[in-house]
Amino acid sequence: MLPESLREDFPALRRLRNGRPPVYLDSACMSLKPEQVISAMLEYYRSFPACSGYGRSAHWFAEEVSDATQHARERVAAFIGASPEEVVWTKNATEAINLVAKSLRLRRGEVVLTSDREHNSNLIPWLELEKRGVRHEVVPSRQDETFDLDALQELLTPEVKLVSVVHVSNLDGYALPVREIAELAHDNGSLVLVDAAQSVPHRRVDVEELGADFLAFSVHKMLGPSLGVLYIREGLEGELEPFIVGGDTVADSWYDSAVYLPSPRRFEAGLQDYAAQIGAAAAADYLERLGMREVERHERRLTEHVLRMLGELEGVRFVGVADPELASGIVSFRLEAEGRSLVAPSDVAEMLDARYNIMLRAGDHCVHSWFNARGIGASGSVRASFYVYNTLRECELLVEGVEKVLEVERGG
Amino acid sequence: MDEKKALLLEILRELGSAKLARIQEVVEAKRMAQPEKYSALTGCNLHELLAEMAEEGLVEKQVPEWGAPVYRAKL
Repeated sequence: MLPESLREDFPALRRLRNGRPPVYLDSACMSLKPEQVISAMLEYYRSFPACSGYGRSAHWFAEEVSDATQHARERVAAFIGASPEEVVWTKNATEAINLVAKSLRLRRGEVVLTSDREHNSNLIPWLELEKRGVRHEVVPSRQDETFDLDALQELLTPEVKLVSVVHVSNLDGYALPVREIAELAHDNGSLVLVDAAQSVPHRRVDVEELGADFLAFSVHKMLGPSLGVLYIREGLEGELEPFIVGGDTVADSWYDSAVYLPSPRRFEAGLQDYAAQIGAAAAADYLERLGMREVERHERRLTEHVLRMLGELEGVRFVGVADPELASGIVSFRLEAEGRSLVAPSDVAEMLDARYNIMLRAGDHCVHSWFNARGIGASGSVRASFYVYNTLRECELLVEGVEKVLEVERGG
Repeated sequence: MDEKKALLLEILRELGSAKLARIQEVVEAKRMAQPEKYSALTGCNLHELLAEMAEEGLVEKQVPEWGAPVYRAKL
């Protein structure tokens, strides 16, 4: 387990409400921020809050911004085993996926394959492309909700231009066999986009080992500020047309034409969020110091603990894959009695927030399609997601709270 | 009245009083059985809709000290 002393780095954990500290179990949505990240960002605002020197100003402060942001790009690239030129800053992972969807030259009749458990961010951009004749097909899961490589193989036709899959599901923490998926896709001549929003913050991810051609993630889920990253494998940048253009994307322009900069700059239009980039580097530093193997082990231990203890309560039904060997960092569940919903997930979350300061997510977690296909779209599930600052004691409080909710709702 | 709210009110009248879990279950069943009529009741934010309806005086929301709220149609 990671040392509990690291909690002291997170100022939000020092707060109290009704004499109780927060139990933050919603890191799959947004992680808390350590002092080290906050300080790094404040340093930009306090000391050199200027434009970058690249293509803009060339003074004292601008040089410091250039140095700090170049370091940030190198740091974040190294964090995923990429080179700095392969890393594009975006607003978030959603924008990163949209960049590929809008920019990749997909033609009428070509196919994009996804899994059946994609976040709306990796579903809606492809549904939009259907309007111009690009087809979107879904690889159905096996009965046990794990990814079906045989089903993928069957769907891999010459028309499949892109396989776009989530690495770790925000629904239940299930890790798809992305390396195997990428091998099959590449054998078919298809490109591979990986939505790594729930994996990069929680486990060691190496884009080469994974076989990703494109990989998207959000820094705000990995202890950093709101910022996204798109990895574009070297050599593929020419396959993408920049879709947001303007200042900073071109080296020169005339009234009737422009010369674009090389990647990644050609994809980063307008003045950037320099403080966020600097914060991203600090977040990567913080996680590297902890060790990503240790981060993963810590979360797996918490997941095992919660799955085991919640599993002992009558009325808890896990949603998705509830096997700590296959899924970690997230536990999704419903409270049921005789096969029927006993307490609405949003009521569970509200009760635990009010009584225990336990912060959870309830609903469809932006994976509406998955819940709708299973007939529980109107209610969804309760989701607890863990990170480096969570403890076994917090997991026990969650279980205690759920047990109390069950007792109350059963009239006990 | 907003179509979603009208449909939800109709369901609440049928149920008398109910907790959200039961309302969601009925909404789900109706969406499956009559998608053309109930497709407006989409998504999983019925609790937000009910809270809004309670503020507007369309629905009575009883919140126990510890437990899930109970909803009842007022009109």
